[in-house]
Amino acid sequence: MSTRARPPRPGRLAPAFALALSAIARAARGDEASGADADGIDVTVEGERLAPRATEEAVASTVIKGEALAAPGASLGDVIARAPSVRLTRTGSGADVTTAGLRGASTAETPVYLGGVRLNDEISGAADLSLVPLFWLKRVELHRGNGPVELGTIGLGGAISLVPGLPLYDELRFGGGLGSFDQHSAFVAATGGTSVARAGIAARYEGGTNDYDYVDDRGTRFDASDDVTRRRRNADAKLGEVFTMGSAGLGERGNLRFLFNTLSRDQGVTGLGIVPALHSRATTRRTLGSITATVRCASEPDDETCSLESTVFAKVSSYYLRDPELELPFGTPALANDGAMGGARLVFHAEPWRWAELDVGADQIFDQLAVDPLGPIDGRAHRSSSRAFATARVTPLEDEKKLAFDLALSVGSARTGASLFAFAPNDPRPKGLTFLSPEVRGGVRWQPVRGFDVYASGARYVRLPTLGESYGASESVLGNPELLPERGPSVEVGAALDRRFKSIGVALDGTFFARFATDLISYERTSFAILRPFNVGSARVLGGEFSGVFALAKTIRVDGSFTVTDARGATESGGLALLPFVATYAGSAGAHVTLAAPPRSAMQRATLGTSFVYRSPRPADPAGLILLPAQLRWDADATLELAGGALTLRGRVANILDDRSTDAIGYPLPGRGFYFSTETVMR
Amino acid sequence: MRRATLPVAALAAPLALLACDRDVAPPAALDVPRGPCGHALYVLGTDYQSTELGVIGFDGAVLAKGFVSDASATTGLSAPLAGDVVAPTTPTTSGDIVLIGRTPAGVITWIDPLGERPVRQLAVGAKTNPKDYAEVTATKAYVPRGDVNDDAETPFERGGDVIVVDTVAREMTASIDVVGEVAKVVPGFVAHPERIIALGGAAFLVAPTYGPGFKTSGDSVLVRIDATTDAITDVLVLPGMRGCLGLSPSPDGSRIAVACSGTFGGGSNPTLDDGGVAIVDVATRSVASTIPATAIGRPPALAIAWSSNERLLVPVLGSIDLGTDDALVEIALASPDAPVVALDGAEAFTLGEVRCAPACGACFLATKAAVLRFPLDATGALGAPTSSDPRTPRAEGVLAPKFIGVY
Repeated sequence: MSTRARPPRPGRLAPAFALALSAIARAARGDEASGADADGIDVTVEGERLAPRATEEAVASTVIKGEALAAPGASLGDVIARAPSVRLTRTGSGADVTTAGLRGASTAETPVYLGGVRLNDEISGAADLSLVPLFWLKRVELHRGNGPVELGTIGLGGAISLVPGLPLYDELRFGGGLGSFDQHSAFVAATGGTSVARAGIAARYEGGTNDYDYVDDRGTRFDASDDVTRRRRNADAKLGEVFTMGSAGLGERGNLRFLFNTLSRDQGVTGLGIVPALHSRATTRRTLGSITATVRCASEPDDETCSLESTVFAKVSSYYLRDPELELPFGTPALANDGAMGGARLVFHAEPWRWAELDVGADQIFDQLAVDPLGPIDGRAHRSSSRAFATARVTPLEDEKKLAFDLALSVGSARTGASLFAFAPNDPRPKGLTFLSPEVRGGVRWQPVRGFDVYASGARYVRLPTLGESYGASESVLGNPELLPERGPSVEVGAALDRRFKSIGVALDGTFFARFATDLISYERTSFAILRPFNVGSARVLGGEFSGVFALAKTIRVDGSFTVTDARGATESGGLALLPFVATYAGSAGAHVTLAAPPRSAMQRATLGTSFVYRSPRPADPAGLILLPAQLRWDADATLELAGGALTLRGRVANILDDRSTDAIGYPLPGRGFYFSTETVMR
Repeated sequence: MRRATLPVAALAAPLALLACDRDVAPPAALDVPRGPCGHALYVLGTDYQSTELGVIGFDGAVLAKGFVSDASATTGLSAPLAGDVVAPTTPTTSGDIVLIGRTPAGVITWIDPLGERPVRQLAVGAKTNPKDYAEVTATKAYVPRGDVNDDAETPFERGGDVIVVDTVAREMTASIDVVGEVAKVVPGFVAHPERIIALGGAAFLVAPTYGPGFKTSGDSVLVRIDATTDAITDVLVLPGMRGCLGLSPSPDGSRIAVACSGTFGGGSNPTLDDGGVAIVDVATRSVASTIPATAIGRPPALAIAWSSNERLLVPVLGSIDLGTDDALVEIALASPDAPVVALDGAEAFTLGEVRCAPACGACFLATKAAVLRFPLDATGALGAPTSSDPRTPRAEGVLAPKFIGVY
C-alpha cells in the first residue's frame, strides 16, 4: 500500500475536484521525478488538506513541505522539531550528529528513508540527520504511528520518510547563503527535459567554522564562580554534495525514475564542551541511489487498477575518524567504519474492485558492516534479509470515503554472519544468527462528515539488532550474539478535522497512543571501559498529540502542536522510571503572514514569520537524577520574492532568546544566529 | 490577526507554567558524631551515568539516602556529579565527605554535612582524570591525576602527577611530577597515578604503567611522597604486578597491600599471569610477599582491604565471556595459597569496593543491590553479612552501590 496520500477515485467526484486531485496524485505518484515543486511554490488546489498527511492509512502522520524546508541555516532537525512527538538530539551545529526519534523511541528504533533508501547505519542503528540535505526535498513525512511497510519495518517508533522532488519547470537555479559562525553555502541546479523524460542535477557546498560561544561550567555545577565562556574550537565542517534525479516514460504504460545522491563531509570532532578535542577530525562519505520502474496494466495514465513496481537501491558509506592525540574516548588514533547496503523490491498493486486495493510485495536486502577495515581489527559482519509483505485497503460502504479498513502484514527472515565476532576471534559461539520478524498492523478510518475523520489502529512490530549490536562496533563497544529483537504492540486512536470555510481554513488533529516494548537493547558496562548490549529493558509509552492549523486565505497561517508523553521503562526493582531524553511536554507554535504584491510590481510576495519550540525538562539518565532544563527556542524568518519569483531572498534569526540548553550533556548548542540566503531561478 | 494570535496565547500559557524546572534543594544537615572509625561511611551508587550518595553508620544503619546526587543542582553543560565519581581510599580527617569526579571534567567535591555552604568544588584539570584524594595534613591534600592533557592551558592542568591542594583555600598549590619520575625506573611505559593513601607523615601512591593506547602494560610502581616536602622519596617497582588499582594500609600501618588486576591487553578480561596482591613493608620499602592471581583464582578487582593485620579481603573479577562471577575472597597471610571465597555468585562486574573498619568490628562490600556489612571476629574473619540499601526508591534497580568512602 502506498505511503502517499491516495486520491479519491475520480468517478465519485465533481470533475474539477477530480482533475485537481488527479494532478496531485500524479505528482505524488511520480514523486521523485515528476511533478511537485521542490521550492514550495504554492499551487493551492481546491480540496487540498490544510494539514496534509503522509498516508491515508489509519496512522497519525505529519507532512512538512514548502518554505519550511528552505529556511536559511536550518537543518533537517530544525525543520522537524516543531512536529508532534519528535525527540531531537543535537550534538552541536547543523554539521554535527543529529538524531531523531518519534513517540519516545530511540533513533535506532526510528528508521529514516531518503527517497526510499534507509539511512540508519548498522553500527548503532542511528540515522544522522545532519547528513540529510534539505535541498531538493519535496516533503518530509513523519509517520508517527507506524512506518510504511513497503519501505521496511512497521517500526517501533514510526518512520521518517524524506521525499525528494524535481522542480516543475526547465530551469537553472543557483544561490548561496551566509550566516553566523562563518556558515556559508552555495548551490547550482539544472533541470530540464521533455514531455517524456526529465532530469535534474544539483551540486551543493556548505561550510562553517561553527565556532560559537558557550559557557564551560568546568564540571562544577555547584560552583558557578569558575564558569568561563569559551569559543568552540575544532568544529569546522565542509560538505560537498551532488544530487541528481530524473524520470523517463516507458511507453504508454510505464515510467522509470532514478535518484542518486553522494556527499562527503570533512569536519573537526570537538567532542565534549568541557574537554574539547582539538586535533580530532572525521571524514564521512555516503553515496546512495535507487532506480524504480513502474508498469501499469492499463494504458490510460490515470488508471490505477493494476501496476507492477520494481526498485533496486544501494547505499555505501564510510566514516573515518582520526584522533592522533587520543583525545576522544575511543582509545585509538584511527577508527573507521564502512557500511554497504543494497537490495531490490517488487510490489504488485491491484484494485480488483472499486472498494479494495491490494499491494503484494517482496524485498531482499543485503547489509554489510566493516569495523576498522584498515586494521588491526578488520571485523566484518553481514546480513541477508528476505521479506514478503502485503497491504490491503478496503472501503466497504457505498460511499467509499466513509469507512476504510487497512491491513499490513510483513514476514521477514534475516540471516547474519561475521568474520570476527565481538572482536573475540576465538569465541566458540556460532557466528551465524537467524532472526524472524513477523509484523502486522491493522486500522480503520471513518469519516462521518466531510473533512472530519476518526481513526484507530493497532500493530505488532519488531526491530532486529544491528550488526554492530550483534557483533560489536569497536574494541570497547562489544557485541552480543544472544540479543533478541526488540518487539511489542502499539495502538493509537485519533480524530482529525480539516475544513475550509470560504477563506478560512481550520485543521485540528488529536491522537492518543500507547506503545509497549520488550527486550529493549541497552548497553551496559561489563568491564573496565567495555560496553556490551543486552536485552535488559521493557518500556511503555503513553501519550497524546494535538496539532492545529488556522489559515486565513493565503495571508495568515498559524499553527501549533502540543505533545504529552509518559515514557517509562521497567527497572530491575520492578518499578517504572522515566525514559531518558523524552520530554513529558513539548509544544510548538508558529505564525506566518504572507503579503502578495500587485501585478507587475518588482516584489511578488513577502512573508514574515515566527515560531517557537518548547520542550519541558527531561531526564538524561535512567535513574532520572540528571534533569536537562526546559528548552525554548524562538525563531523568526522573512522571505522576499522579487522579479516574478525569479529572485528569492530569505533571512532567519535562529534562537532569538539565545537559549543555551543542550540536548545531550556536554554538547553545547549554538546560541542566537543570523542567516541569509538568496536563490535565483532562470527559466 | 486577532484570531490568529489566539492559538499562540493558548499554547503559551501552559508552556509558561511548564517552564519551571525542578527545584533543587541542598542536602539537609547530617549530624553524626565522630567515633573510633570516623563519622560514617558514604556509598556512591552509580550506573556510570549518574550518581547518588547515601550514608550508613558503621553498624550498618542507613543514615541518609540521596544525601547528595545528580539531582542536587541544576544541569548545564555538565551534570552536577556525573557518572564517574569515586570516594577517597583514605578516610577524610576533616569531617568532609569528599568525592572525586574523574571524567570528563576532573572535579573534587567537598561536602560539609553540617556546613552552611555544604558543597564546594574545585576543577583540577579537564582530561587529567583525578583518581583519589588523601588528606595528608590539616590543610593539605594530595590528588593523583591519572592522565596527561597535552593541551592544558596551564602547567597545573597538565596531569600525570600528584597535585597538592590547599584544603582551606580550595586551590591547587603545587604539582608533583610522577610520570617523569617513574619513567626513570620503568622505561618505555607511562605511569598513570591511581590510588593514594596517607600513612605516617607520607603518602603512598600506586601507579600502573601502560604503553601507547593502553595496549601493553609494564610493572606497576608504589611511590612514596613526603608530606612535609611534597617530594617523591621512593619509587618501588612491583615486579610482575600489572594493572594495580587497589591500595590499602594495614591497621597497624606497617604494611601496604596492593591489588593488581593484571594485563588487559586491550580486551575486557585480564590475564592471571601478572595480577595478584603485593604486600609492601613500609619500613623497608620493599615487597614483603606476593600472592599471584593464579593462587586466588580470579583477577583482583579495583579494591582491597585489611580486616585485621593478618587478613585481607579482595573482590575479584568475574567475566561475562567466560561465564564466571564476581566474588569476595578472604586471604589469611599465614596461608596465602588457600584463599577462602567469602561471597560468590555476584554477576560479573557488579561488585564494588570493599572497606574495613577493624576498630569498629566490620567490613563493608558494595554489591549490585546493597552494601553488605560483615561482622569481624578477633582474627578478622568474616561473619554472616547483613545488608543495607542506601539508595533512594528511584535509584533502586538502576544505580548500584559501587564505591565506599569514610569521613
